[in-house]
Amino acid sequence: MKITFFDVLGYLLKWKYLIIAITVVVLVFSYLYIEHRQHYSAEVIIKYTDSTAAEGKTPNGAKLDVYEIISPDIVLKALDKMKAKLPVESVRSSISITPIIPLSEIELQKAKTKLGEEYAYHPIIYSVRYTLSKSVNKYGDYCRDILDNIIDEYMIYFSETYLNQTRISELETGTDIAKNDYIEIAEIMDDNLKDIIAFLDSRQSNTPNFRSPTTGLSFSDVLFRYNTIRTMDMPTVFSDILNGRATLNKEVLIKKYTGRKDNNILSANKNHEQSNLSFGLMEQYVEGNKNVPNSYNTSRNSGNDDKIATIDDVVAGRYYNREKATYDILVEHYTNDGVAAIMDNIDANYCNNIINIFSTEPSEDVNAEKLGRKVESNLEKVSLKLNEQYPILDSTINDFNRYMAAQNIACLTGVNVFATIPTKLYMLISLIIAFALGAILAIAIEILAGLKKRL
Amino acid sequence: MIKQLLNRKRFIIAFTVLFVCVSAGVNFLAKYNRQTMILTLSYEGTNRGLNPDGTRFVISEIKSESILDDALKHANLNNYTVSDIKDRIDIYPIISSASLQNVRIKVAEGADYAHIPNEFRISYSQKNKFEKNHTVNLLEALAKAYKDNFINKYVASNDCLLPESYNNSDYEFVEIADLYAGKINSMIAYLQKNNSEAGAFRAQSNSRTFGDVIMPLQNLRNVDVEKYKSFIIKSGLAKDKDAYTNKLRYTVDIQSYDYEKAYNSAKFTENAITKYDPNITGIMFIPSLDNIDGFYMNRTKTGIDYLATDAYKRGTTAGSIKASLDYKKYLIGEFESKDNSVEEHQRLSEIAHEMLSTIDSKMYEISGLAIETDEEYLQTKTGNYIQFQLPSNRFIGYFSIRKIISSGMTGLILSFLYVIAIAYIRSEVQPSTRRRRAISKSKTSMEVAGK
Repeated sequence: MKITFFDVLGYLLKWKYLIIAITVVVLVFSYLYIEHRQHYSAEVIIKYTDSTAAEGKTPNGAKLDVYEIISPDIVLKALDKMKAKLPVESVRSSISITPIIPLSEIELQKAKTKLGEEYAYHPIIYSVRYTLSKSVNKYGDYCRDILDNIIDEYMIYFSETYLNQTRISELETGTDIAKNDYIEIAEIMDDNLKDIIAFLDSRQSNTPNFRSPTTGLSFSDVLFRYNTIRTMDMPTVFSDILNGRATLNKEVLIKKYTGRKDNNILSANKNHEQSNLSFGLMEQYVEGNKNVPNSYNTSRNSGNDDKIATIDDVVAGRYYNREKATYDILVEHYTNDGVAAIMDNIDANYCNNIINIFSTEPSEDVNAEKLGRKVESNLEKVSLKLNEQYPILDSTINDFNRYMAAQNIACLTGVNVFATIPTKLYMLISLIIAFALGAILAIAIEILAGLKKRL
Repeated sequence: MIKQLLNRKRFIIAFTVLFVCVSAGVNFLAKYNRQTMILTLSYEGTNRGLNPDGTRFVISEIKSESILDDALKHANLNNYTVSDIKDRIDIYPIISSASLQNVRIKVAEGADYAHIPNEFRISYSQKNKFEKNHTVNLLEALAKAYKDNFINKYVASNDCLLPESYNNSDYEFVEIADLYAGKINSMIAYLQKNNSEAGAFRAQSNSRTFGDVIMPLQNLRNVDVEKYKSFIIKSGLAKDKDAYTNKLRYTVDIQSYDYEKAYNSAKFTENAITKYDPNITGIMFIPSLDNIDGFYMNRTKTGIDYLATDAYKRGTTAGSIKASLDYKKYLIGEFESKDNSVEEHQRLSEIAHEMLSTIDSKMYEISGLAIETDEEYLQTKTGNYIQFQLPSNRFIGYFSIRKIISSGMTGLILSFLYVIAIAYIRSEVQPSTRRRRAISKSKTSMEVAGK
């Protein structure tokens, strides 16, 4: 039986409805299958920009662990932010982190290994990819948003943990006012203010141009507000406490400051001893090194027969921080302990002053009762002012942490999302196969019908 | 062939018109239910994926609850909730699919390369297709809500330019002068930054540059506030003189401890330098690399450097505490030396309040000018930060001339092909079929005749 091309065209025309039906059915099933198997992948390439990353370290010297990106805490925060109801573990296990190593480094590593030399390279660029089944969420940008938020949370974590951009906790003063003595509360408040001011002062000098978009304030502005409380409000409180001898229990207060004074003296003695010990060691160290070859060279290269140049007064190189020699460490101990002893002695004097003040009665022209009430009222006022300032402080620091986070980890790409199965291509293939199936079936039917007629 | 086409011209025209209508209808339905707008970012830092304040740009923020809530309010869609529309908004960056791979390749080649999209396609698909169409309305509202939030969140506000009055505060007269000085300094610092960015900017509303606003602020601080402070100190005027001098004395006591600490520490550290054996530097070598990676032994003076730096810092601290102490002692002297009568105190207080009122009125006036100038500057500066290209809301906007023409052409070509194919099949296939039928008929008639 001979079938011409035009016979085939005729068969196809004759069985066109069957072919169309088969094509539609196959396409529908293919689409459903692809949808069932479809996954979305979101990917971003990040780079640690701080120079310490090339040494495998974070800016504060801790080991750089890129897998902290998928720590449960960070993933949970990102999911909470999106109100996504996905199990943390499933998200963590669907994220892959791959270093991108420059080809030159790979070549160098091969060459070094060939020579039997050790070579350590710490990648600074990583690809982070998150894959999500379409059955979980049919939209690809949901997958992208999850990765985007995880990276965002990680950057904040990195900034807070490794750049010392910690948050400052709010001082709880409400219950303390009723329980503690006035001077104790005032000291707690003053210490808290001192810490905040030191924090703000350092941020202000390091980043004078930073201005929080949330509060519209610079660190200098916030510092001014806290300085006002510390230099104008707190001295009023302390001065009234001391002038009016305002205390809830004089005996307990005096004994407390006596104890503190004793501790300061003991600490001063200890630090003094340690300082003397360090000084003694410094002298011995010098004596001990006098007999070491090359010691006490007074001119460059005299008697120094190695071929390495010795250069004076050069700031430490790129890969070496300003290291301290043993002698320097001894000197440092001597100085620090000596200074600490001085501080302790002065603190003891301050305690002694407080003891002396509370051991005497207030002067006759002072209305102690009235001053006591004023102290209580002023403590509450300061507490209120601190509570008013705290949200401003917190928002400013929060904005700063986010700012610093983006300065130390850069994204080299946006978070790209793509389907792992190319639906259009697969559907086209299905269409061709379905048409071919229909055509073969139509031709087969015609051939069988022809054969049947012959028989 | 042309004859065949002309013979079937009615079919061709009908088919083409039908094809155009169907494709335009499908296109209309698709567009009617799903509209897309384009977001473009344009500011310093866009190419590094940052917001204007230097924080990381996160596009998914556009789908945050607060922004969607604002968008629903702007669009007056009161019967919709955030969750109703959240999953119906898609955002895709307008970027080549190969860009990620390009970055990967270039980075592997050692290049310092990044490619971050600054354009995004944001689509919204309305859930209930039979309801009144609100897709364009919602996208417009979303654009407004996002832009407002973006500027509010990532562009620093000028709240520090708002005026503040300390005239009736609890603080002492002399302290009030410091508060005004601090406030004015804060305003000047903000304006000076803008002045360095755009010194030539002149607001159209008040014809002022930033420099024109900074100068009266400096005058306010250096003339009015200074004059007021000197008047208070030289008059020994205080709301509660005893309390104030007690406070100063307390501050002197505390600062004396601080001074003693700083001074003695500085002296101890200075003394340590003299105890540092200079000859020891001869044996202290630290291996280092220079700027061309050359290895050398660094004969450092680290120990002495550290001691000198520490001594300097402590000495400076002691010096600044001493200056503050001297000033406090001066104030105590000034206030204790004046013994104003009640009437004199009253008179001086009135003058002080008048002076404060003058400062207040000047500050309010300058603050108004500063805010006006800054607002205009911010509008100019941030106006192009984010731009939205919104879809057309006109009925005609749902139809694309280009698509109509292309579907017309396609319909025409398909109908041509159909006519030609049918004519060809008929001319080639049907004669053979007729031949087979004739043969089978003749066979049948022969069989009948045989019987």
